Amino acid sequence: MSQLRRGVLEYCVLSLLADEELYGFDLVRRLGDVDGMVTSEGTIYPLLSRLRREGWVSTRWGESGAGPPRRYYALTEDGRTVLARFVEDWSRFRDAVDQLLPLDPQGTP
Amino acid sequence: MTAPTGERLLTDYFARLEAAALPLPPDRRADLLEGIAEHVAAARAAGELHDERAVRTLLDRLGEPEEIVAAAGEDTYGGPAPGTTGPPLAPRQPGTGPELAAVLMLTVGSLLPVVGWLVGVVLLWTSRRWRTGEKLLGTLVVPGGPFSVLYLSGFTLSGELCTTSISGTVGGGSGGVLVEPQRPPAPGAPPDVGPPDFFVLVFGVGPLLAAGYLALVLIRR
Repeated sequence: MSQLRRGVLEYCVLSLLADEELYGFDLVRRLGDVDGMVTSEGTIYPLLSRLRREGWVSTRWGESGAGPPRRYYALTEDGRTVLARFVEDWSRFRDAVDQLLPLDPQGTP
Repeated sequence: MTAPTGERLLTDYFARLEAAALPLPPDRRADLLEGIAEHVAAARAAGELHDERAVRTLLDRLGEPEEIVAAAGEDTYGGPAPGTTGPPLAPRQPGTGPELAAVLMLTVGSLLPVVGWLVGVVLLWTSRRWRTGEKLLGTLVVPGGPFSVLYLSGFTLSGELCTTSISGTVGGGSGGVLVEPQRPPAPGAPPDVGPPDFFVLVFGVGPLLAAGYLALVLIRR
């Protein structure tokens, strides 16, 4: 299950950036607030770095008012394409798995 | 203002993170430390670090430094989950053996005709520490390596000159090493010291410069 979660997490990050750019902190918190998605918030930062290396996410420095300048993360065009493709793949995958799995497991306590 | 123990917890955490991150490549390490520092600064600005318990909560949510560094070492996020079998992806160590061997075989190794240089090429291309462009440079300048020049001349000229050229140095004055095949060597006559010297320079020194560049790139990386 953790493998599955880790594989999907990067697309969740891309999805959060689809509508607006976010500070790293805000992005990490939103992910962390969704129950069961993230066990270690700190690991999101290396993930963000990798998404930048892949060219799916871009960053810029922005003033944060109360403190030192902070990074804004935004989706690139490539990132959008990747996300769109994943959304398609995921709904197909999810439907396939749902078909194979019983909707209410019998004999579960 | 954060309570003193809270500050100490933060300092300790960062110390652990920096230590755990040492094996990472410098750019990834800097990126990681910067990201986490920014996170803490943002939490502080949001008033989240008001007491020790709040700091503990923040650090718990951040996770263990080792786990974070492991994530930074992976090239795919879906790598081995921490705590399961498989150590974090081994980060690159400086001065790796195979790369050194590649550089040596491409230059000195070409003393061993064909085979030596080919071994160097295989080591060059199977290494993950050079980019494709750099690998092409190491292969094309010059195929066969510097000492191949000696063997080539040895095959096209008579046995006499073969001995002479091998005893000479590649970059030096043995100008007769590369001679146009149509010109029959006059026995006893001094070797031509004109254009062939230029070729010796290019084919002899070129690979050495290329190998030097590959080594430099490796050290800096």
